[in-house]
Amino acid sequence: MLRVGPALLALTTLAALTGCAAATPATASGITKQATVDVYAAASLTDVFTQLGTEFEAGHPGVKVTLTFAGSSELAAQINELAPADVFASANEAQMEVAREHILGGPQVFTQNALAIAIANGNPLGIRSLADLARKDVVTVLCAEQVPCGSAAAALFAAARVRVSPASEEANVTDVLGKVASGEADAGLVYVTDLARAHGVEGIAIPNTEAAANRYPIAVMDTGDAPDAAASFVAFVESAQGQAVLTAAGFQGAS
Amino acid sequence: MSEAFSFTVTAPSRGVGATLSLTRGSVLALLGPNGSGKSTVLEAIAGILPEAAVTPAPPPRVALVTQRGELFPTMSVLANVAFAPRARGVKRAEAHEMALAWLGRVDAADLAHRRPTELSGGQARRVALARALASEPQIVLLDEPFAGLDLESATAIRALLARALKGVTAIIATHTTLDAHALSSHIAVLERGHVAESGPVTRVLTKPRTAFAARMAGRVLLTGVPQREGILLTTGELVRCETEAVAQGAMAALAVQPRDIRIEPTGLADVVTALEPHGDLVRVHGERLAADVDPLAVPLPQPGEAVHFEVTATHAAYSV
Amino acid sequence: MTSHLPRWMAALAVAGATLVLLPIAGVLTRVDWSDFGAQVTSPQALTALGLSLRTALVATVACLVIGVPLGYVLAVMRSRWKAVLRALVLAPLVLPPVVGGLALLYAFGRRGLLGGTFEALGISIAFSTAAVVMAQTFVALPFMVLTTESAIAARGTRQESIARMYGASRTRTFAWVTLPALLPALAAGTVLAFARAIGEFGATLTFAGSLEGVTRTAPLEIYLQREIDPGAAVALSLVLLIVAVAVVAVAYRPLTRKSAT
Repeated sequence: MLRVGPALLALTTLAALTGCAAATPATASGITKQATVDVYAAASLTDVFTQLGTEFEAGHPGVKVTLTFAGSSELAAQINELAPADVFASANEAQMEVAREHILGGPQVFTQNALAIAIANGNPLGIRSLADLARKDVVTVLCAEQVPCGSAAAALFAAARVRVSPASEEANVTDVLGKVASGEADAGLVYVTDLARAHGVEGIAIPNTEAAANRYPIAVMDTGDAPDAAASFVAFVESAQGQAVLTAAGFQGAS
Repeated sequence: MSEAFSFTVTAPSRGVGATLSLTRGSVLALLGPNGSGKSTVLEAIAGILPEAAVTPAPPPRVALVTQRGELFPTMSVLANVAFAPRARGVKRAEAHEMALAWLGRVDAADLAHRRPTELSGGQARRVALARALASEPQIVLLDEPFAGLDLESATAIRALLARALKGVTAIIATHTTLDAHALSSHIAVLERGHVAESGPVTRVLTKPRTAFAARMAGRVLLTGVPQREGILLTTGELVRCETEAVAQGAMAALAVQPRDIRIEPTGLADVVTALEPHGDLVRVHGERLAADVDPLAVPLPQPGEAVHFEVTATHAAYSV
Repeated sequence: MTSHLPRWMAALAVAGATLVLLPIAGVLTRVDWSDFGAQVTSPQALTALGLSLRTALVATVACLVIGVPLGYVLAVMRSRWKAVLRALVLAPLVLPPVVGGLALLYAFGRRGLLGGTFEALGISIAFSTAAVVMAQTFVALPFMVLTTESAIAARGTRQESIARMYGASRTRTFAWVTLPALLPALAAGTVLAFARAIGEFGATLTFAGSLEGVTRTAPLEIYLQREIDPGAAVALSLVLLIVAVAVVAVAYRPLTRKSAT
């Protein structure tokens, strides 16, 4: 004789569980309970997005934010390999273009990052402006022109009508900062946000640097599994609260 | 270099402490069994053994010919032989001429353009000898020049050495007495790193003063107090021999070859230790003596059996 | 030579080969062949490749000049410090290259041990092609030292003793007796050193910087292209791969028993 009872119990439990997963009710704010937003963000956004993530989680109980930081080109490449990103925040529009096939919502420019001069603590060489970087006794390093911080630097030098011969053209801004911090180079052009968190260097502002700032776009990607939560996160970043965090770190406004 | 000189070789790590005496222009044979330190002594005098000390310091130009020849493998035979002259500054063409001449003297001129790896053992040794002689050394050292050669090659090299070493100061290390007899005027017998006995070749090999030297010479040594009829051994036995040649107050010794000893019940008491084939005879070794016996004529005693040896013929004892 | 290799070891060998060959095959599948020609012959790429070849050649010669004597000394020295010295000399083998670059900075950089001396003499090492050669030499030297030391230790110095006995000076002995016998080992060391030098990245980046034509070698060019045009990076990677494989395939002969004597 068939043991119907236990079988029936098993079946109904199974149905209930799958039913739960499939028919999770949406709440009023549009996000599901217990969702995880996987954010892929450019390395220069490490500190700010960590803070934004914490604040977002505080305001949206049950939602978790995981953060992956790397160079924008690497992130774009990974997304194209279907890495499970819900949100992509790139340091320049070119890399967002690289991942355009997977954009679900956006992109929107949410902030900008401008360059400043990084010099050794105490400014022993008395550097005051971009023109000083062309001096023979100053060893300057820059980003290579083909990367975003390099093209921004080139634009600034052109606007100031200064011709500089860098000793090295690095592939990313971290390497530039590193060489100034170690004393191998006397000066370099890095992001304002890098100066805020760097040790061993001082910064000198560049007049009208916002004109050559890099525009940072953000978008919801189809490679993730929580698009609603993702959209909510993007909205948070663009909100007044989110923008305040960005500005405090040295980023320029989104316009 | 003076007429006569001696070296003391010390190599404590190899248990060697030996003093050798050389006469300029003559050959010294260094006789000893394998492992007695002959190679160590030669290498020390050649200056290629860092852990050995030689006092007084040997003359600067010394050439060693080892058992394996040890030619430079990346050079031709001709370049090997020309090495020493060129190292001294002789021009290439001239050095090659000299080398060719030396190769001719060792009957190896046809090997001039071969590589050392293409040579047989005997050929390599001849070339090594040419290389040594081409360096015009003050002393030539030869380590077992006949080891590992077939009879024909050995005979050829012996004749070659007899020619080449005329008037040359040399030391030949060997473990066979034939080589010592044939080529050298003096001999030093090496036992476990130390010189047991040394002197003119014939004297040491026919009238040895130590049991070890006698053994190397293939003889049996009997020593004792000289009497009118013979030698009185410590055991109280008398060995009949002539004792006129023994000096007043000296001990007397007799070195007898085993072929002059017979197994006779009236002889000296002994115990058989080993039997050794010796041509078509068998050498019966005892603890004190040995005899060459025809196995077909006489029943062979076995190791461990008591035996009596008698010295036949009349020998002349000598002083020790 | 018959193979008595246990069958399970053969399986492991296949696994090992796969581990190395699959990624190489992976690179091949990513190359956009239609763009390949243009990407590897662009002026930037050619400059970088040319610089890589030139600096690697100079570095290899430097490795010969200082590595062979160092290997010889290690092989013949008798001292309780021998093991320590050898470990230190071989350190670049296990150091992450970036750490190697930092170490070079601390020694020869502007703020390094010799930095002040160099500046006083008017010499500036960092950001120069010389710095690239130094970085490459630093990482490739252990290969030369290792092969030389092994070859000399295996062979012993008996031949040299005999040469000296025949009156040859130390230099003559080295030139006529030691060097010809060392040739197989030197060839192996040279090939390995060259391959390592041409592939050097981390130390170069940290110590020498990256400037087209001066210090931006092929690996650094690839690193830059990753940020701009990943396709070009892959293409250039393939070229380096081919160069490395070709050099080793043509020139490397494993030391046989015969060649080690």
